[in-house]
Amino acid sequence: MTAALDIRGLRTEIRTRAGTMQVIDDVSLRVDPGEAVALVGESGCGKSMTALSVMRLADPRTVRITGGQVLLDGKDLVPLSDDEMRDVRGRAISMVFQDPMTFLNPVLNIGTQIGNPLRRHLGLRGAALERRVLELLELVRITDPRQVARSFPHELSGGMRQRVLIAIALTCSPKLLIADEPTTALDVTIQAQVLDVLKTSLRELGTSLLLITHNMGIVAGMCDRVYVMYAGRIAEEATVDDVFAAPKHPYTQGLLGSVLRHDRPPASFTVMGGSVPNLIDPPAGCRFRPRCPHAMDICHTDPPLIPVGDNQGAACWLYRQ
Amino acid sequence: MGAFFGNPLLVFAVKRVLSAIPLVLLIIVVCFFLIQLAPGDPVAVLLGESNPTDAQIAELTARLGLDQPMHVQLWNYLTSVLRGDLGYSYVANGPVLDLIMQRVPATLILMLPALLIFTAIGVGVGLLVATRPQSFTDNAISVVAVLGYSIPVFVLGQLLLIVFAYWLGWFPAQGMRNLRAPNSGFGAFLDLMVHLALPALVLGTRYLAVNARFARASMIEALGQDYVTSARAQGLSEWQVRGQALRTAILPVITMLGINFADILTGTVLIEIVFGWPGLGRLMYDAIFGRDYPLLMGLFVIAAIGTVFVNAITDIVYSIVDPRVRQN
Amino acid sequence: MQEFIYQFKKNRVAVAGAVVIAFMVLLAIIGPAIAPYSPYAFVGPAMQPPSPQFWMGTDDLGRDVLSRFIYGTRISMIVGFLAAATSVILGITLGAVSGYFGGLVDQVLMRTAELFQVLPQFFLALVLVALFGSSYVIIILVIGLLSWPSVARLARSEFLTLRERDYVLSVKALGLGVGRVIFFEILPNAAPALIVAATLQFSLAILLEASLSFIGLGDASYPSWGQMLNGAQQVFRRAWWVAFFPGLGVFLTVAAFNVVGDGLNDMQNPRLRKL
Repeated sequence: MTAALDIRGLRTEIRTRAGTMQVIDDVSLRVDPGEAVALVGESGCGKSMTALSVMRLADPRTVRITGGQVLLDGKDLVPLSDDEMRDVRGRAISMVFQDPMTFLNPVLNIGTQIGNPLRRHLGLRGAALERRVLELLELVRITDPRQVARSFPHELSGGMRQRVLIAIALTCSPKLLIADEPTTALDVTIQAQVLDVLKTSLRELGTSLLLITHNMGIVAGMCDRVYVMYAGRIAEEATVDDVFAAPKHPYTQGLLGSVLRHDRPPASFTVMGGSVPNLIDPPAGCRFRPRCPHAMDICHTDPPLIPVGDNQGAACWLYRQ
Repeated sequence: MGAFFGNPLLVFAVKRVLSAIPLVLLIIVVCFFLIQLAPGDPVAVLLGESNPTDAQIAELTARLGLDQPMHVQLWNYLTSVLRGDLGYSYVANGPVLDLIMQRVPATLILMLPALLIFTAIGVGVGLLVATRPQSFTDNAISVVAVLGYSIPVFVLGQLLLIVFAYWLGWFPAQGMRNLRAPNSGFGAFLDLMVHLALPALVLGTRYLAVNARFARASMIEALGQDYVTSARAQGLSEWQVRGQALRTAILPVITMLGINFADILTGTVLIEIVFGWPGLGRLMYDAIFGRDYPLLMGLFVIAAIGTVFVNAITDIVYSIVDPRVRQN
Repeated sequence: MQEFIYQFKKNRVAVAGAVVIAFMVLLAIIGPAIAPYSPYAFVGPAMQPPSPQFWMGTDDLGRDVLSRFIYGTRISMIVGFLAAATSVILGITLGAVSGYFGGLVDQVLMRTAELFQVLPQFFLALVLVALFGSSYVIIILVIGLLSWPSVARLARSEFLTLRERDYVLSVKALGLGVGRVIFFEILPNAAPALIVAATLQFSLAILLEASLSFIGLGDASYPSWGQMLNGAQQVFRRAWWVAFFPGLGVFLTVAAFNVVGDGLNDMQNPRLRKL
């Protein structure tokens, strides 16, 4: 079975005045058809940049993919020309962003904005176009689709705007949807609603999901598998159940331990010392080594992703065979 | 009626026009007080250097009602201006409004074509270079643009006049028409064009530069917005993406047109002086020379009201493009 | 500071502008001492083209154009500086008060600013100068009093944004008075934008003075470039130098200030930073 998305050994660098940053260093991950996979990590770990690299949306003047493959349904996106990539974006793969207010064009009405990819990729016009726009609005459970289609972004609530963004992303029934912090900008009460809409509409269309977030709570409710990212590399890969029950990589343990939980005593709350490494001149070997309570000599060498159990893997020498 | 009030665009337009009225009244009041505040007796001020007879002085004093309380004078002034009576120029011998209106067409002939054509070109250039910021073309055009609007219109005018009219003789030096040219038909049109060329070019250069700079900055700003990334993520073609950015980039440009109107009028008037164009500029120059205050005040009132009017129109056009301002 | 100079130097056009300004300031200061003739004296035959004796030629009254140019530099710099200072000080004060205190004060001040901005500046200036007399004092005051709104708007928006910033709130929480907050917390952060505004005010002031003098409202007690251009109107057909040099003076000075202002402005915009 071909994976919906199969990233193999991706490397991306960013040129800055201070030097070149290896922001993604040999990242591999996989999303199977119909699956929902989470990519988690703290700010700056490279998870958003992974999404932008897959979509090739980053500023080409400063960001470059320097290695690896990004296979969408078996076809490598990295060597595609700009024109070819434009045909893929919004159609076979699409993206939902964090802040629905700034990611919608303020001077165009909703109907037009949903209609744009429909026109562009599917060539729909007139009545057929209108019908599809209304269908999509119903898919994301918007109650008065005709009225909303005539409205402008500033006339809608935050939750509705985010659902519109989801609708725009799903116009062409893509194979994969990448959602980058889709609920971070929303009120907590609205978050659940939007996530629910996301889940059901994806299931209805059979679209896979790559969810990027730093919020472990939503991961539990939405996803099947998790990749934990740290300083541009994958630290751990596991099913959702495994990662919460028995996280293997010390970073994941620290990440989960630093979340207060109602079913654990406050004393079990841990804080990770230190800070994220400088990616222009990263430490040799495991990038978590400077902060790791279990650091050993061998950690000066890059750890590969070592399988632990059936469906889990950690890039940590603790688990060497 | 319900449909009318339901349309936010129309409501906004009407409200905008109505809100301009108090401004116009305020301008007229300001004028009144300027005359009062100026050193010297208002009658002497208004008569200027026209060598008035005693009879004229007496008549004016009575007409102004200077013995009456200030608020009565103000009311009289306000009502007469609103009726179209901007006073009488004793220096130029004629009602101020008539003197001004005679010259307005010539000024409009100079101002409008230059404005429309060169503004459009300027905006176009600005939008195009914005897609390649910091490239060689962009930097070169940016420098040329700064120079273009830094040079005072009368300096550029004199320069072009010296080179193209006096030395090279390609264009006539002064005036709007050649007395020996045909009065109507294509010949007249050509004659007008030939006279219009240099002054329009001077005016146009300035506005091309101003608008190019502004459109560029606005477009760069728009292209950096998140919804542009969104549009790209949808796989829209680069032209469609730029089209989306354009709709928001054009907004500040529209506003600037209104704000710049006063500057445009000023430029036109100054160029008329350099090129001897028979419009408001010449009228103004002579009015200053002859200390013809009624005429100067009248020019100010007309210019101010014109600016208010143009600003209202640009605001309305803005609301057509940007739905966010329609509701308040 | 070093970072500032580094970034500024990268903008070669702005550097050229700064050099021109420095030159003009220098000329304004030492000019009268090095001018070959008095600007008022009739020192030669009228309308002589530039020659070794009269580097910029003579005007229609036989005065040395170079000497008048030099004195004109001084006037431009002084008028520009004083008028810009007036409008900037007035603008910052009113804008800061408006932004900081808000409420009715804010409403009244901003409506007044709007009124000034709608009125066509040049026409109002010419009416005021014509009515009140064309002395440099009046000219400077008029220019300063008409240009404050744009600076005030800027100052106000800076104050509004900064007023609520965390570091200001924390300083206020420490009990420091309003004055100190304004001077030590808000102004330093608003300074870059305000300096750009001041630079542009300078160029506007020079342009406005030149325009007023050009139409005949200049102060004849001291030569200015605008007045020279006014005089040149009649004769530049035969004597191009009488118009060319003062015109060049105004152009270069205004362009220099604009270019420097632009450069400073671009430096603050992260999107335009060069790599």
